[in-house]
Amino acid sequence: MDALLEKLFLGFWTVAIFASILWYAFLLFYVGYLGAKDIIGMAGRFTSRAEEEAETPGDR
Amino acid sequence: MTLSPLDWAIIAVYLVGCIAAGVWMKRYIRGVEDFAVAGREMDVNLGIASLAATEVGIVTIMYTGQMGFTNGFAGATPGVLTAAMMFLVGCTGFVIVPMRNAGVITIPELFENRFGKRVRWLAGLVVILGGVLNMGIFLRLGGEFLVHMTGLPPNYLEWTMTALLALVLVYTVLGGMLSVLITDYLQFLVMGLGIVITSVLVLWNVGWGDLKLALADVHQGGVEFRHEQAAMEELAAAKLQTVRETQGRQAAESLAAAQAQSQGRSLRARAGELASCGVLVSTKKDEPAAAITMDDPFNPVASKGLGWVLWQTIFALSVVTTWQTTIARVLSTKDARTAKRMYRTTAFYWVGRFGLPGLWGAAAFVYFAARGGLPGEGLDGLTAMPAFLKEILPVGIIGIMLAAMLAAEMSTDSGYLLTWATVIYNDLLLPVVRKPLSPKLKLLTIRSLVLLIGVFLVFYGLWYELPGGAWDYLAVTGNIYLASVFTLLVAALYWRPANSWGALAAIVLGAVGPISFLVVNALVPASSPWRIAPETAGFASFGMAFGGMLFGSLLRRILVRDDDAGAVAAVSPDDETP
Repeated sequence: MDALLEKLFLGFWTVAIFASILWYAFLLFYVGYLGAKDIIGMAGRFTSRAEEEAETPGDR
Repeated sequence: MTLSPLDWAIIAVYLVGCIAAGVWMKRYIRGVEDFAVAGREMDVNLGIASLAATEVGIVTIMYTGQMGFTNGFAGATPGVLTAAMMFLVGCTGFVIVPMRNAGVITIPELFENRFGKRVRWLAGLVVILGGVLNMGIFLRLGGEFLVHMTGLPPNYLEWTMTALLALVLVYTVLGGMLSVLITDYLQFLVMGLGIVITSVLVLWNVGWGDLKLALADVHQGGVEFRHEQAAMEELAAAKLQTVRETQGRQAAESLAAAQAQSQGRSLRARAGELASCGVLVSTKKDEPAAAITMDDPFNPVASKGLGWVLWQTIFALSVVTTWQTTIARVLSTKDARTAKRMYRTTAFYWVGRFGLPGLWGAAAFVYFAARGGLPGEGLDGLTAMPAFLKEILPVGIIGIMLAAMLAAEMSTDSGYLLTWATVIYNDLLLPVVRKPLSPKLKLLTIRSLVLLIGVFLVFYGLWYELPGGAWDYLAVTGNIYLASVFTLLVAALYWRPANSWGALAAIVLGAVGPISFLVVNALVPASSPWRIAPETAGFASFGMAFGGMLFGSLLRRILVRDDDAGAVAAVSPDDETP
């Protein structure tokens, strides 16, 4: 029973560690690309909001 | 010094780029909402980068590395549990959806709607107490990592910490959450690259198959050593008892001190021999030598106990629903759907957050055990991992790794500084200010708070000595607020009879367990039976907070007849104002 449990845990940690390395590598590119697009979009929204506020001044 | 000019160049480019990007975002700050929650304009991928970067600091790498060093892969269990809980919350929207829809800036603000201003203020105080104490050790551990990784003289640690914090303060004070998001994004990239490269190199160096076998061997060696030690300690205790009975207390105390010194000397003398049996001896200056053994490296229940695993499960659920720095990202998202998606995608990141530095820690143990023990001076379970990385990483990669660790530290510090400053401003100051502040004064106040917390951290980080494992300290200090605020949050959102009496009882009782742990364990010696185990303090705080909420709320319903808490909507205060 103990040997089986140890084998199960060994298998689990093997999958967890290698999957983590792959997941980190994947997110690096995936979030790297889409996150940059998010930043550009967010900066654009702030710029247009600032322009709108400049046209109609008022306290936020 | 280990660093080459190439390593320094990589670090310099990273630091300059990061600070320039952070300062650039200052132009978009118009008010407190922009400063604290980025105008609620954050989209999902930026959210993933920010959440991941904030929750992985050098402190994370250090304590997860320490757990890998003493518990092997079983030490990564909190990461697996947190990933599972985050995915569950991301699928169901438990807590985070009603939180995001409430349109608040902080968690305590939500409590005012349900329990009144007094509860909001007290909850804010508890959040700050737990959060800032928790953050108090970030700088020291970060500095220790950098000193051991770069080979800088240890007396540079304080200066390293202070300089790092000063850089973080520059862009956090100026650009608030907007700067934090942009720098988090850059830091996510640099940190991810460093973690992936380092993990691959560690596996290349030690070998996965060899590592598994060696971990099992050193664990076995540790078990045998602990048996021997237990037998020797029994003999020593019997001798002490005899001396105490025949020659008095003072003689017994002198003998105990002599025994401890002799044991330390003997461990140092046998360090090489012990290493070959899977036992390492710490080489910390000014401290008696201590043996470090590997607990069960694969099975978390055998390694840390069932009580600890259960505590970590409830702790993980409370972290992903309640930890203010995590929730700050939820509150910055465009909508609740984005928040749920951000959680689901980030969830698996938590396995690596514990698993990969844990891998480095476990590999460090095996590496040093095979080479005659911990080298040089000043190494123990906490600092062995960076010393190991210094030995195996080549020129250039060390630069990337250091930039990655600086990134990790800076993103965590900036996110935490901003979060705690926002809570102080929003939940401690605003409720007691009678005259409304001008937008400029509001911004000045919150910026000054960020600065003040930074100054506090430098001083607290310089003198505080850890009373045990780093993770246990962080978990227990975090518990000061997690237990009570988690209880309040769940009750406010999902339990209609909850009222202010229950909330106040939950806050006070939830803080008792962790504060007792900190005070008692700082006062009594390490061998004392009065010491409190972290899981006992953790469980007690959750149990007492839940009990307080239940009994307090029911008591008020019985004693105060006009309290129709069951009919109170989740958005209306149920009673008093200060």
